[in-house]
Amino acid sequence: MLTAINLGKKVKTGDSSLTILDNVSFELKKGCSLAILGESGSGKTTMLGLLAGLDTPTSGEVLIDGKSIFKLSEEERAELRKNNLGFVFQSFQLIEGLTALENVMMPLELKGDKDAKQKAKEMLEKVGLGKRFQHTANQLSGGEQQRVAIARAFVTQPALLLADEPTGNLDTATGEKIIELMFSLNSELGTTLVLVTHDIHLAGRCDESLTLSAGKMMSKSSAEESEVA
Amino acid sequence: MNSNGLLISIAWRIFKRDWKRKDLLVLLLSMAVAMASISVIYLVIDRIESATEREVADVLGADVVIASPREVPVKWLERADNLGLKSAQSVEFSSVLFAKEKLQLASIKAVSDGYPLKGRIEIAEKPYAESRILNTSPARGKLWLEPRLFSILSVQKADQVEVGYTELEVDGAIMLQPGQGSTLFNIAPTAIINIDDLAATKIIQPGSRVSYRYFFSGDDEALKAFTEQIKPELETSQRLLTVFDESPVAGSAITRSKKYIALSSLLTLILLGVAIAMSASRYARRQFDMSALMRCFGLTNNDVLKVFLGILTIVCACGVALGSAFGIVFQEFLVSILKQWITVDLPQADYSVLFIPLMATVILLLGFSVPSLIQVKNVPPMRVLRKQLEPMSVGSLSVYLLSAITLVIIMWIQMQDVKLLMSVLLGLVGVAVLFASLASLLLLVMKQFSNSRSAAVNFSLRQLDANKGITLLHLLAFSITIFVIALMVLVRTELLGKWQQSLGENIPNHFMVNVKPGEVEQIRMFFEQNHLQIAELYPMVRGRITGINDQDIKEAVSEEGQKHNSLRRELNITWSQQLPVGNQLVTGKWGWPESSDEPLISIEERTAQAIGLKVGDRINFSIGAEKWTAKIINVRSIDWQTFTPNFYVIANPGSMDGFNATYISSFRMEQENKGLLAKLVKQYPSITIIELDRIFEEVQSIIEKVSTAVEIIMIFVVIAGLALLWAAMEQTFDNKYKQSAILRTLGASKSFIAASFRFEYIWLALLSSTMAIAAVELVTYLIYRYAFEIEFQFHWQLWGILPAATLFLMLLASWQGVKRVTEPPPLNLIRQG
Repeated sequence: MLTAINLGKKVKTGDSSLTILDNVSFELKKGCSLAILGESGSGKTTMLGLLAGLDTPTSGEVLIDGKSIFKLSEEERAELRKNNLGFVFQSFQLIEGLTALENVMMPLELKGDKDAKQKAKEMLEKVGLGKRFQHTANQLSGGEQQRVAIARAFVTQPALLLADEPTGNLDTATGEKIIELMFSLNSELGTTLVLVTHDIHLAGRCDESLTLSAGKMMSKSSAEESEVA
Repeated sequence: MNSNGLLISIAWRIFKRDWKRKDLLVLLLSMAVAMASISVIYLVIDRIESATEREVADVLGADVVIASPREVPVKWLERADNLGLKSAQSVEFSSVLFAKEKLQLASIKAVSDGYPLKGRIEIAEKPYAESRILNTSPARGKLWLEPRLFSILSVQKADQVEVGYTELEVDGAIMLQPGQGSTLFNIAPTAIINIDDLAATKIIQPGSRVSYRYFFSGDDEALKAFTEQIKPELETSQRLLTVFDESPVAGSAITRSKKYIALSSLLTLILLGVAIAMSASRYARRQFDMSALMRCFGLTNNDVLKVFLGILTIVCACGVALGSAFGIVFQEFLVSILKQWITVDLPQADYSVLFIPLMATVILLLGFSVPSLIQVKNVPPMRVLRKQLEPMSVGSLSVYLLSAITLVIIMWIQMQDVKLLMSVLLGLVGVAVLFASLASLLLLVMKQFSNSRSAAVNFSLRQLDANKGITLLHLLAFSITIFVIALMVLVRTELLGKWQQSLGENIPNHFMVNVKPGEVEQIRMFFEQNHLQIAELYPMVRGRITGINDQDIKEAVSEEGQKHNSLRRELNITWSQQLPVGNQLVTGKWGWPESSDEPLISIEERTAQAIGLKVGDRINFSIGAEKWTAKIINVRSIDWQTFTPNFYVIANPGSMDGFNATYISSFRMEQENKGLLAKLVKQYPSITIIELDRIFEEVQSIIEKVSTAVEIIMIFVVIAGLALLWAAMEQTFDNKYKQSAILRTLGASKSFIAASFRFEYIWLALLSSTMAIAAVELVTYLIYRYAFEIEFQFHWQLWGILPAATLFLMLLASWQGVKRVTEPPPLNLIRQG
């Protein structure tokens, strides 16, 4: 489903260049989950951005369903995200001022879905916000905002869901509930999940994990291997 | 406690950082535009006004004139002398001139040396021949005569004319004299003699009706001091004269243009104030993190305020320096262009007037940006941990109060016209209330369309509704900008149009008065034979109002009313079956009843108002030695600028049969036909021809200048409007940057995002222009009615042009901005976390 081949990213800083990501490769099967672990500045977010086609690499390739996304134009990559990808951010990134319902309707409307409203309502019911349709982001708690973000990410039933520290801004109890929700939707809808975190326990719930350090892939292991280890 | 030195150094460091990040660019440029435009307005308008005043003085014959029925106290003249003012004098009275056994009643003007102090007298060898400019009185023993006196008295140059007990030699024909505009209806022709010959005439005896005029000129300060000293000592019969008494057309053009300039510069300031407020609020929002951080480092919130006030001071200094430098260079450039259009040289720029723009700009910056800075001061330090934490917004009442006070101060600096100020204030309050309610209503209606087929349309409509507060603010900013630009362009066009019309090509440029009833038909024939057009010939009788409803005017009219011009002199009365052109009924109906047992009249509106006359009142007139009473049956307004005969009183035909009337008319005659004038006067010696074309030249030149001033000021209204539009646009892009990133991660294409943003601007353009037009109609109605006294008409063409132009302008202005916010990779958003 998702393959990274020798993925690398360098940025220029004055006369020299800085390597942010160095030669990272992995393969993730459909319906599986992958945790990307690492310290701050290890290149996790850069990698997530490259996997989503939000940024272009200096070297290497990303294949989604065998298709190299960087051979596509920027607009084609946007089309690919619209039809295949969902996103959950650490700071929720709801569109300010829009209601919870309008936020969840947004990706459906972008796809031209005529039942956008109905589907968005169902998804909000599913994440436990059936009574919060008309609330705007600033009227919701952090946990509720993240649930709206999850509903927005899953409502189009994407093949691939990318989550960037989804519990980073939440307290432990709320964070756990969010993770439960995300994993249950993930298994229910058969989505492939890539999760950036530095929470080792959260990583443990994923099928596979990958650790980055200073842009280099230090290790890659499956859950079974982790358990054995 | 932090020392102020440390705070200044922090302020400087932040300023440098923000300067590099271009965060302060919009604020600084708004300030610079404010300073530049006010400087140019003050410098150029000051120079144009000085030049205009100079020409006005030419019309008047001096800078200041005192008119009095008797000699003024000698100490007044001594005061003028002590203040360094130049002075001259004239004594005017009526007397009969004799020559070659012919006689004619004339208005004699005895003038002192130095007359006129301003303007010119043009004298020709014989009537309507080429004239030469003389800036002096006739020599002793000589006199100048108006052209018609030459034919009436059958005299030529060097002939003797008896004036009272003396004989004076004819030295030339008066072709132009200062104040000619005011003497249109002086039936008696003028003769000018030297004041030193006056005693020899022995005409002035105790009890004679004489008008003394004292002319003064000099520098502004001395004149101001002089008039201030004299004013309290003036008796009711004595008057200080200005151009407004002398030349109604030039006077009203100047008054209106001054009002226009005051109004425009005030609106320019308001627009720039809003632009400053918007860019300051945008800057403040970007400083929330910095403020929280400084609080964590141990600065008190007052220290934070001081730091940002320090930054504001630096911005202010840079803005003022940049703005005034630009202003000075631009005004020199402008004046060099103007010199090609304007015939008279403009005086040197007086840079001391820059003090007012400086004060206005500083007040503007403080009044409109401090509320935002108070918000920065109030950022909770917890924001370093929780970014969502924002400061409590400053109480809206205090923000509005501060802005309102700023506006009042600025208005105070800008204008001293209470009526106009009230119009503007009422207009602004009305516009704000109208805009806010209209915008809320329109947004509510538009929300109903947010489930359309196009996701971009839906998103744009939801965005407007979701950020209602900001949408309203932007709608207000855009609509006020469009409103102000449209208003000023409109008022300018109509003012200029009106002036142009008053000096148009087919406007009569000659008056003919004193036509005997028996000559009316022959004169019509004369014009017909010479293929010239002549307006209606109206009979005219001159009468003085002596009472109302048989009560003496001293009892019937208020003290204020008694000062009105119409009670101090004879009024022109005519009779006519038709309502003359340029007249409009205000109350009552036009048309005389078939039979009436008493004389009926129609009276002019302003006279009626000033004296307190109404339909049904009976007015007592004294006409010559006769008494005459007539009942008012309607009130008319008159367009005084038509240059056709106008009458305060029109009676029903037949009601004045017993009185001797002369006829009056106006006609147009081009320079090449001037020869006919001499022929006409020779054939009908008693008539007087008044050449308005000479006055037109003076008025034209004054109007040319004030029009230029009006054009310049309009440029600045537009610049200020665009500055505001820019500030408001920049503010919208901040929010859009984040939206664009989220939408792109959700898979929206750039074209979708751009389309949805552009739809937002389309709605904003349509809504704001619609609101602006509604307000323009309302406010022009108020301004025309109460400030400029021009007739109001709906501007249907605006309803098509304005939305289209706004749409075009807004899409053009947002094109780059939309591109800018859709370009950066959305990865930045994820990084910001």
